[in-house]
Amino acid sequence: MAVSFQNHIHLSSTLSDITTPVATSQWKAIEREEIPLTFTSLKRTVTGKGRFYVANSGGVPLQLKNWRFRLFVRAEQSETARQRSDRILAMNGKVLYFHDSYHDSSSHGTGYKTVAITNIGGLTSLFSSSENFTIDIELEEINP
Amino acid sequence: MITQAESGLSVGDYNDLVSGNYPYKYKVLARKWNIGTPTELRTNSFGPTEGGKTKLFSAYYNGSTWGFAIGAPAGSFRVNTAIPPHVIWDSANSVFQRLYVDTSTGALKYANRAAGSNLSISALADAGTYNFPSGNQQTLYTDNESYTPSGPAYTSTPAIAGGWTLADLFNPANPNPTSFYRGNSFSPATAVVQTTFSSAVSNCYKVKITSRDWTGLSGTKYSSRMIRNFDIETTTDAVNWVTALQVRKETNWGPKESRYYDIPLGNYRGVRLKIKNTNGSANIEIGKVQFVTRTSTTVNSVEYLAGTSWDYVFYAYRDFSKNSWNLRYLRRTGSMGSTFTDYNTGIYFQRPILSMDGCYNSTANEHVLAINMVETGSVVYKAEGAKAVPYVSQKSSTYTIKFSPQASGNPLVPSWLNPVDIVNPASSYKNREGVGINFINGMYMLTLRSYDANEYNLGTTVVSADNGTSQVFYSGYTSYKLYTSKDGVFWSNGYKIPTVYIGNLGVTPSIGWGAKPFLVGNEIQAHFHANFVDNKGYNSIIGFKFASSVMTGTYLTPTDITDEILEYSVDKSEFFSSSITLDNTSGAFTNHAVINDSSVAYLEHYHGIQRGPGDDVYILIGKTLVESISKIKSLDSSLVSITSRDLLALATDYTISEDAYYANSQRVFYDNYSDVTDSGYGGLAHTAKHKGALTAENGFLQSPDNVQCIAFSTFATDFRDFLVENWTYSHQGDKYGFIFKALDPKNYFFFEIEDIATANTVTCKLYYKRKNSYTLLNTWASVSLSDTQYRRYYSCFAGRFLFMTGTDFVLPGSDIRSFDLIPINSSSFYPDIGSIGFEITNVNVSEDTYTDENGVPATLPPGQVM
Repeated sequence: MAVSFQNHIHLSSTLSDITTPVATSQWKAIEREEIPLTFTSLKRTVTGKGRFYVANSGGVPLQLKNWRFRLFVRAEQSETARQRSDRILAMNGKVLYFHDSYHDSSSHGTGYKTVAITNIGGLTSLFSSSENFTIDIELEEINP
Repeated sequence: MITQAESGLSVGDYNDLVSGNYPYKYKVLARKWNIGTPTELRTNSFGPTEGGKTKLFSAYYNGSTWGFAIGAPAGSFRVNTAIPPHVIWDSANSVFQRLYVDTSTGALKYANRAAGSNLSISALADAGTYNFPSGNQQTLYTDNESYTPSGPAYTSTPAIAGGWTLADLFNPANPNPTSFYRGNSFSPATAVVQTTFSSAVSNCYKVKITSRDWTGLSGTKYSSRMIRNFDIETTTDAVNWVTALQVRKETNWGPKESRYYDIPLGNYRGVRLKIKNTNGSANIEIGKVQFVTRTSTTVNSVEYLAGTSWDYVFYAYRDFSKNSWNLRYLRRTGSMGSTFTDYNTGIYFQRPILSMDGCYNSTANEHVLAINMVETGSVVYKAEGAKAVPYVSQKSSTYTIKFSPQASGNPLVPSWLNPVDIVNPASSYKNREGVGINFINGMYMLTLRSYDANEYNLGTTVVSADNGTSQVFYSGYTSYKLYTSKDGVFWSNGYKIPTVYIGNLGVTPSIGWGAKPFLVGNEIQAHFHANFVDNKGYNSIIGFKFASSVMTGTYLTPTDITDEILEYSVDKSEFFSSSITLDNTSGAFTNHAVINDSSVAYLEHYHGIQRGPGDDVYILIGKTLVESISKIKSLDSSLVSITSRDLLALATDYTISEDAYYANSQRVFYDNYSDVTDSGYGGLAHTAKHKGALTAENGFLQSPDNVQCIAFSTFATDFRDFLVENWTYSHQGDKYGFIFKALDPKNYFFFEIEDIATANTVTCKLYYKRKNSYTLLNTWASVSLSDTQYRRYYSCFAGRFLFMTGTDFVLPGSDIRSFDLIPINSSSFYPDIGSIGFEITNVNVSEDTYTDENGVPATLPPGQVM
């Protein structure tokens, strides 16, 4: 199959969990944002001339991506909602392996990214007694 | 950003720039000091069969051609010298003159040749000889303690007991005698041990007596059995004995301790010890008795030459008996062959001179001498077992001394030592040698051969051997360093001149000696003789150039860096300095021809206005020398930061050491004699009192009447560098002065000033105190001092003593007496180093006897002894 949008992402601190997907690495996202990232600066010399700098990699501008997701956490994949929320919180501060929702569902061995959670929001219950949560996370690509 | 106040001009903003509204502008140009590649000279006439390798070399450039002199054992163009020869140029007569000290005679030899011929290398016979008035050569003696007596005829009275033989006592080959002699209660009253030899032992001048080894035994007993009161007798015919020395009260012997006893120099057939019955013990034990002989060699007295101009030739005269180096110079007024007149600069060094060079500044009419020497460095403690053992390191020091003629001409007046570079501690891999100096385009330029490495990071030098193979030596990173000075006093840091590579070798040679810089065209060039044989089979004279466009006034094509400046600031508060941040987006400064780590560059700062499109007017407001270049690269920027300072900063700021270990052995500190403890014994924290109840009060050192007081400084350890300042209230009968070369409170030199019974008249004497007894070495004629305030100031510098008197706590100008401290005529013992201190003996005089209108207190002195 070709790369296409799936209804989930894969996110785990264990690489094999996403290259040979285990069910618990799947997360449902209800919002998704894909943010391109480059490193440039435009400075002015004292004569007013612009000096544009871009960080290159292999002769071309270094382009990375960040992602922002709002994950929907509920009882699924044989885990309770609380078990899943605990696991997403435990990923904070670790190097993670990641398949964007835009990936080939028949071939998980390639196309994954190495990322880290650079920002994580609070665990939000849909209503006060709900066992269903949402949580916002921001992922930054470590290496292209 | 630069401000109006800083630049003297205002600088427009960006809107001004784009509108063309006559904005103020500025630009910065970067230029490079041109450090060129070496140029190899004359490889075809100095073959290995013509005297072999040598380091001794001198070159002089007269404005159009070079003159060389080479010291080597033999050969047509070389001279027989053990120190570098010297070449100077006589512009009045248009001749080069070659000077050197002949190895065989120690005399100065000279010859000249007119300019215009091949001056580099060709035969040049000696034309004249000059004998130094202090003597060309001296005899150097070397102790020899290992002679073997032949034909023993050992005897003793009374007889020996304890299984011991006299042969052990007189046999120096016995390394650890445990001999035992029983004195039989001294009957007869004097015990005698003696030996005679079948032939005379030549040149004996000491007797060495060593105690036996009682290590691990009861030391007190064996120490007391060592001889105490005895006579040393000698014989020249093995029949008649003559008393050579009477020794009394020798005590406190340690195991295997050797003591030396002077006897008249002679050829002896035997030695005898007559031990008195006052020895303190009936049992006598001696380890070993030996003659000490000496062998003599003839050495040349003049160790270095440096002609600063045609008519002034400086030289370093070494006095081996005093282990000092006297700086002197010759002056002549006529052409070659005219009589030299010898002058003493009054400067004496206590440390070996390693190299010396000089130059003449005709504008200021001053001669500047550069001296590279060994000095006592810092004290380093090393752990040996459980003990911390002190070692005195050596430092490699380079100084300049400026000589200015007096109004009446001679003699020249020397300045004090001006430090150029001091490496402390120095080692085989971190050192300086081979100084060269010249005055070029209004600036003194000095070069030093440099070794820079550390014990963990040794540099390598590849040297070509005679057979053409290469050898690698671990000797530190070798290079030349260039130092500059506007006045010959304050010196810049050393700029490393890139390592010289010799073209046809492709390796760094072991460069031999100093390289005197000269202005050649628009370049600064220096020549040296490389100590190697190249692949053509010849020794080489190598020239290299490190020309500076700043110094020569020649402009190389500049690089305009204005368009790359992101931040620009200048400071003109004291001297002109600037800080510039350059954009390196394009990578132009990553390996820039001018702005790079290995280049010496300077910046030209222009400020001005734009009168119209393309019509800029700039004024050069300053030139700054680049001192640091920092490259700063981050993910989104690449910057180069440059700091630079005005060239004049070189003359106003200097560093006397590039090494963090530098320790100044001159003035360190002093006691102010202010007793903050209020106990009468405070205020003397750095004064080690040995004798006399010295106390401090209100800034005054109080000494008791009619008691000799002795104290030492806890700071100073070296003789050459020391400075004593001591204001003294004194009156008739007082004796005071300073101690130097003190090994302990019983052994030192003492320069004494005594206010004798005639008012305002003092006598100065030099004593050598050894084993607690004073020997008068020199007495100077009494001098009358015009001042009546009885205040004395004295200092000592490089072996010269200055004594002044004044009316207040300011230096006077009227009464300055100068004494040469070097007539220390002790041929047998002359310590190099030692502490300093002072002696005071204050007579008991009522205050009423003073005539001092200021009411001098009966205390001594408000002094500062460091």
